[in-house]
Amino acid sequence: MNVYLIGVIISLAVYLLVGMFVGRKVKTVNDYYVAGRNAPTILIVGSLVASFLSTGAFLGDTGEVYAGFFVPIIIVGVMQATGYLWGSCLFGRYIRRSEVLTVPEYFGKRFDSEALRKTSAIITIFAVCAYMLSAMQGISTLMTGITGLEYKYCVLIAWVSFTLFTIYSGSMGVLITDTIMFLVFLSAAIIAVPFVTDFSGGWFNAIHNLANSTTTPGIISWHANLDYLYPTGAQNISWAVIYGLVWMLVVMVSPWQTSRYLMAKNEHTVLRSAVWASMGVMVTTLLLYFVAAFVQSVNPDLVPSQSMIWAAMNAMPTIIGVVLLAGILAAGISSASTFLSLIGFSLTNDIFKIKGDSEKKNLSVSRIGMLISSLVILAIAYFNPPQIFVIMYFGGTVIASSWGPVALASIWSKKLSKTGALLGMIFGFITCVVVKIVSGMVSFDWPIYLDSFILGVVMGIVGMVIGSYIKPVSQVEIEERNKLMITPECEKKEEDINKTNKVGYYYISFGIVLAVAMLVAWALPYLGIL
Amino acid sequence: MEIILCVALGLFVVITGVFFTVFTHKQFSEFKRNGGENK
Repeated sequence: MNVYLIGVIISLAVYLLVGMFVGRKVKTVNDYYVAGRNAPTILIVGSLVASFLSTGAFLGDTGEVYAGFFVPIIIVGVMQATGYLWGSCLFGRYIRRSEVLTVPEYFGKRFDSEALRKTSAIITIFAVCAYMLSAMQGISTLMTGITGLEYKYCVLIAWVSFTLFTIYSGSMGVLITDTIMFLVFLSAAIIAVPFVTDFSGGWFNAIHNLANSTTTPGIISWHANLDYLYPTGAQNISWAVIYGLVWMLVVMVSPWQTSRYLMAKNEHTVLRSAVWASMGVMVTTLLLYFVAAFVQSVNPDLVPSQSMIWAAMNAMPTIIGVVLLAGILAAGISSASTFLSLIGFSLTNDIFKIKGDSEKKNLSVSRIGMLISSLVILAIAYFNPPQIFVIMYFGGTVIASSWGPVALASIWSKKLSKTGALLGMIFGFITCVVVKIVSGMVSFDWPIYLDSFILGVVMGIVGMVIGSYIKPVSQVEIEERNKLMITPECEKKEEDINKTNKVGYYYISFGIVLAVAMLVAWALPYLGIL
Repeated sequence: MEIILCVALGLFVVITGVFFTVFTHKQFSEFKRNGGENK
């Protein structure tokens, strides 16, 4: 048994034990779905970041950087992280205020529409299933690589590692384990940097080598490697800005992010968590992107998505490598556990609305619903469908274009009616999926301005306008929106207000530090000025 | 171009922070002035 396998087993056992221990405190459906609505800032930050960053970020995005897409991925990374602040102000604090158990339930309550609740739950399950499959495949592939076990056994281990505690402890366990896993992978990213930097001959030397790379020309220039995705720098930057917006919107409104706000102690916790989560995501991802680029400077012959695994096993002391691999695994498991809970909650609370006649029975029903969902996902992952990366790519774009406009307008528009919201979601969803499929089938270069996200958002807005014209806003909808506009008494404590106001200044300072750090760490040495 | 990108990214983060700060100040300053009443 190698040392990496021992490290993986220990970390899985810790998550399982912690989850099972926390699960003993779950007494009501409120505890199970929204952790009693009493979570402090640290747990919300941990869960926001851990459910967002998955093996997709640790293996997929770093693979893109390794293949020559450093600057576009950096742009996406920064833009997406700012989504926390926009989302918490424009959407997150209001859904916390609505006191629902799930985000689809919010849509149903806000527009007094069961059809909208079920539609948004179905879209949630579609997007989240794809993500969860990809996370499970990522975890299993990683485990296969480091343990030598067959893929099918690794799928089973991965399934057991997060399913048991998620089913037993619900959101309460997920919040705690997510936070532990967030701290593990943040530490892993921070610890890995000096070792990989040293392995590649020092920071400035690595930047100099990458600037003159012949194997991946342009890897850290503003235009990126022109042989990778698009042949011009303008197209690559356009791609980055479009997908920066997509992921920003995902962070703002997606169920796997905004459902964390439902568990927050109060609205100030929502707002403060958003600021810290944004900085946490930026620091973690930017460090990883530099590490992936440095790996390329010392070994350009890897499969891109394996670059971090190679670094963990070759570019640092064994014990640090174990920490990095445990961190990557933690990123995958934390996302998978959140996704599983969302699927289970949407099925039992929003689609089938299964309820027992007591609190205990309701808990059992929710747990059984989640177990059945997880078995279906296990069966699909077991057969390892090859197109899963393509399906996963749908996930974020689908949520951004179908939920984005409707979610924001549900708070800020007085004219959006239930029919408008329903048509907006359906039009956005169908357009996005159809365009993705068609653009993947045609043989010519699909124009970047006709991206599925842009067309999905446009058609979503068209649906919202048509629907609201056909059937205008009802009195019940007006009253529901008015209720959301009233700030609860408990949010008016001066101490809380002062604390929340302060974190905004921290973030502004962080922006200035980021610009200076990027100049010193990348632009100036790249241009030969430093 | 690389220098412009660094400044642009930093500026985007700063603008986001300014939006957040203005939003929270505007939302909550009324309560501090009005002794906790909604407007």
